[in-house]
Amino acid sequence: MRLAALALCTCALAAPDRTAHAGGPPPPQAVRAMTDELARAIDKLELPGIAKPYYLAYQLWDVRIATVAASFGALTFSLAGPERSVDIDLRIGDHALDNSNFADSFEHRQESALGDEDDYDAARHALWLATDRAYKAAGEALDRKQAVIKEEAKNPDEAPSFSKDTPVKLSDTAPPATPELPRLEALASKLSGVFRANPDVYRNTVRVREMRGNRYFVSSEGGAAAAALGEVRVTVTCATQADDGMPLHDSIMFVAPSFDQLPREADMVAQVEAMSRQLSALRKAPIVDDYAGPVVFRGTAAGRVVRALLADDLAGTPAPKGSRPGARTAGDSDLAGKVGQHILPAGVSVVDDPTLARSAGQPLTGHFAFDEEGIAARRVSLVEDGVFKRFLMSRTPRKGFEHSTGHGRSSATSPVRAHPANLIVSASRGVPDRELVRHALAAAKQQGLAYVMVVDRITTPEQGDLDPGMLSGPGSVIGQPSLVKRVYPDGREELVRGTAFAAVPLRALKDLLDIGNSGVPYHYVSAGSGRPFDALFEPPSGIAISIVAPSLVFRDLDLKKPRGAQRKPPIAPRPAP
Amino acid sequence: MTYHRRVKRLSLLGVMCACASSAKHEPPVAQRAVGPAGSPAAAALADPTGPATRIDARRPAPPPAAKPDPLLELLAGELQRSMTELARHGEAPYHASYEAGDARSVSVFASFGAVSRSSDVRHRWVDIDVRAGDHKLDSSHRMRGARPDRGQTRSAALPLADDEYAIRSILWLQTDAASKAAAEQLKRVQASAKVTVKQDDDSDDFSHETPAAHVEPPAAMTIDRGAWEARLRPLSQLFRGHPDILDSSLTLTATSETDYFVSSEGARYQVPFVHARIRIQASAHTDDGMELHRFETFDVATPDRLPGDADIRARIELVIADLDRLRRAPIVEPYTGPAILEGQAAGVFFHEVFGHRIEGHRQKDDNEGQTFAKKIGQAITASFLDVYDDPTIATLNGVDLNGHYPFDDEGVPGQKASLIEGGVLRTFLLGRSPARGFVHSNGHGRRQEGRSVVARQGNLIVTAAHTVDRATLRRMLLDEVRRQGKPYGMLFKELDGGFTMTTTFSPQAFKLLPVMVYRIYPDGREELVRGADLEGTPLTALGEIRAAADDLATFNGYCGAESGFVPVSASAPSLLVAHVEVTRKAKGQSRPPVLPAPPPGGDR
Repeated sequence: MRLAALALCTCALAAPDRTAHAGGPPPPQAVRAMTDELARAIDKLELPGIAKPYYLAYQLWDVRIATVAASFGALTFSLAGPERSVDIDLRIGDHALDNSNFADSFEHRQESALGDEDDYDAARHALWLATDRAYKAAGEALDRKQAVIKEEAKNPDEAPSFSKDTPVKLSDTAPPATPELPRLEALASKLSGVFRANPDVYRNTVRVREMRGNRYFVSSEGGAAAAALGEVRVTVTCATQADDGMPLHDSIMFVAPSFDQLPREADMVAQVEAMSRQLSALRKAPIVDDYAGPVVFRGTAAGRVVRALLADDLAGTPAPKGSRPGARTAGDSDLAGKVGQHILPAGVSVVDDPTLARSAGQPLTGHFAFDEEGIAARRVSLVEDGVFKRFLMSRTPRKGFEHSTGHGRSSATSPVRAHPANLIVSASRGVPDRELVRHALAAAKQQGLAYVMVVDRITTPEQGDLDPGMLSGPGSVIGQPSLVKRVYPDGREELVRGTAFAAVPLRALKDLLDIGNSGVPYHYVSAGSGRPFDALFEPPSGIAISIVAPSLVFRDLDLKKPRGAQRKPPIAPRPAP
Repeated sequence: MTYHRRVKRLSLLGVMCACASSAKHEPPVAQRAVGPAGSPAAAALADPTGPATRIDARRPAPPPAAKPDPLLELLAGELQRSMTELARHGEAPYHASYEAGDARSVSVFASFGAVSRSSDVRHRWVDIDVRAGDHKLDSSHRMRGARPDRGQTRSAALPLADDEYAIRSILWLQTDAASKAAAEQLKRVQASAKVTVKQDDDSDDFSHETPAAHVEPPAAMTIDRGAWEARLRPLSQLFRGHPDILDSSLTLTATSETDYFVSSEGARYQVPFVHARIRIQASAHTDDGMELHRFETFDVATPDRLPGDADIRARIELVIADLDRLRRAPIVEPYTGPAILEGQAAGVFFHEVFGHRIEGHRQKDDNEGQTFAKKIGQAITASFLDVYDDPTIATLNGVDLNGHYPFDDEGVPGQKASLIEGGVLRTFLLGRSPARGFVHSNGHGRRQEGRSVVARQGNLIVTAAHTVDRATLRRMLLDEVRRQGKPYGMLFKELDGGFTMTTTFSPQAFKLLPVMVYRIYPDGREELVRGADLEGTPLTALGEIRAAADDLATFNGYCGAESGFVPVSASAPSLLVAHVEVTRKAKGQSRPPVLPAPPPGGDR
């Protein structure tokens, strides 16, 4: 049976022209090596005391990546080259109980780096050794997992190890293409050159990263899928210190599926100029006062809040089984046990839809046709009319969610688990932003407040500025707001600096005062490690996620002004341009 | 001619030699201390009569005069501006320096007939060192009980072009942060000095040196990466068809780097550094779970001196043959007794056993074992041995040395340090951190980018005042085997490297990782063994050296310590050591791969 399935998958990959999407390039030699080694391993890999694998899948990332960085208009880094690696999912045991999702799953993430050149023998040799390691590690993990289970009381919530789902067959690849380094360099220099005109900016980095290539998946269940990958990400950060020593920084991002689809250069320059001016304004802005009352999150700040409060919890992959009986490792969703309950106001719905490439004309980064377990991506309705309906799932089931929704994703440091892709929040009775701020002001007035706080941008703190206090306490870390305003009843907006949020609990979402009627996409890259650390570090690469959320008005949040001494500002004056 | 007669003759002449060259020396301590070595036979072995180690040291010709690069001027300008401004605000450190590098690294990595990685990367950075306090006590002072760390150096990437505003902006902020950190650290150092007992060695923290001024043309390197890809691809294919070899690779790395240094004392240099290397590595797995590694390198000063295909091919074939022989070799038995360390192994032996322990900063740090701190003027090894470290040598007996540099990372010219003369310890390897009795650097302050400087080795060279030929050395080994009543002696040919522990907390031991190790039986038979480690303690080991051969071999490599990895070399003649301790490597538990290597070209 297995061999028959394999023959099929070989066909599909060896001759992509004959599939639905005709005209794609021939698959690399590495795919033939994967197919051949997969057939051999599933049939012959056996040691005394360790069963043959019951499932084996390879996923080849065949991409070219270019990364450039510039500061004050001068290039500081520029590198382009192929990056080719294979992820290995090898399972022994059976669907009910196998070696996966065990405490040391990080150690058991199996992969093999392939060389730059596409060579059958070299790829096959690497796969042979990596699969051998994966098999031995799987044997050891299953033994240990079984030993733990033997000592555990029966758990009514225990779910099988691996879902029975049908892998997709499709091929939609693009011809190999190399990112053009010179135009990336020119863009980074151009955008960072904006800061030369502003002596208030002490540091800045513009990083442009372009990835192009294809992803290929083959599995012993007959999975055979291939799809093109493409992403350009431009991250612009700038930082300074106020005269009283307070560190200030800000950051914006542009994304597109290809370089040509980035916003017009003049538009990007204008946005960077605006950020540069804002940073100057921030240096002079008053320090925020302690505040308790309504808070409005507009623009990308709304998506950032959804990321911090909700996104990770929508993923239903159960936490890995602990290495001691009864122990569970951290990482289970806070929404466990909340299916059917209100978690958002009535009229609010949340879906995740990886099949979308754009939202209202804006590119989304969580777009893919099939996930990293070869399951077709699909739209999943998560919250309907404020009621939590279901989780995003990978092929690791949880009680009540026996099937994958096609959201299995991984990063360099985390094995495949369910993660959001394109998370879209909408409200049936959303109101325009102007009206929303008016409502918030009315609520503020009732609480005796002269103004309402509006947050327009939240960024990840720079490493040196990380406040360890952010990591303690219950609730979620929202990050560091970089653009916060007091809005007065007469419409006046006053920029303030130094804002920090106390930890915000998930239940604050249920009690939202108001919600907007349109949102802009907020994009981020997750290391896949889960909260609370995920929101505090921006990995250079990882799981790309977009969140589209309309403006959100929280009824009652605490904002704190900074306490304690600041570092001194620089002693010597800034070098003259 | 019998062996005994010859030894007698050697011993007679040897005594004369020893008297002539080192009359004032005390006899080596260890020879007095260790029982069997003190016997008349051992004394006879220590006095051969062959010629002194042949040394043909080439130092580069004085470079043509050159104009400073814009980057050097920029660094000097911003350092001066920052120091002036800091002084104006009463916050000036007493010393600051910038060391910048502009490097191009070309690498080609080939495996199984395909190029796995190929890159040509340019990289520029600056390391900023700021000292608060004064020469006597400053912010670099290592506090009692403090863990070794990366130090207070601040490192930053610099723009690839000489963009004045961008570069100055980075230097400005980093210098500011470094001076504040130094001032804070000084307060901690001063507080610690008040509450802890006086340190045994109360040398200053920073030496006074004459600032150097030296400008050479920037580094230039010509290399055809495409041509190297084309050459390495087929060469790396030689490993195919050897199913027992699991991993193998062939790597070319070529670096061309210009280093820039400016200090607030007015030191200023600009020097090029070019280095190229080919590394061959392969590993195999034995049926009993032992992983075997074998590597060979060619280290040269410029890419045009890299070997031709025939030489590389021969070395690959040697690696393949060695791994094959090792796979079938018996596992070593624990052993103590006499051994020969052949050239490269002897060099690594001195590097680990001696070189790391005479790094100056270890002599006054009370966290360190200070093996040799109080042994200046005392005999620590055989009286026929001289040991020195000389970074000014570029080529030794035709071999390019990795540890050649004109200036160290504190702006001090690299100099010859005569460490052992006639078996007697004379000095330490010194950076600008003085040690008891030594107030000046001898140009050995080194670091990897981003780390803080400590004293390190450069080109360690061991020479013998009189030698024997290699055949005699082997006969002397067998004589010693018989005398000690051992079934065989040991011969160490190739080493992967080694390590040593120097802090008080850990045992003062070293471990070398030999790869090609042989048992030599009294009948002259050689037998390769696998899984041997060579262990010992430094004072004993140095005292056990009995004779040196008339050869000299160089080990070129990279050495890692507190201040990161730095290129070094170790050269020595083959040495007869009366006692070594050989232990068995921890046995791996992993099985060889379940399936055989896949067939070339695929199953179909």
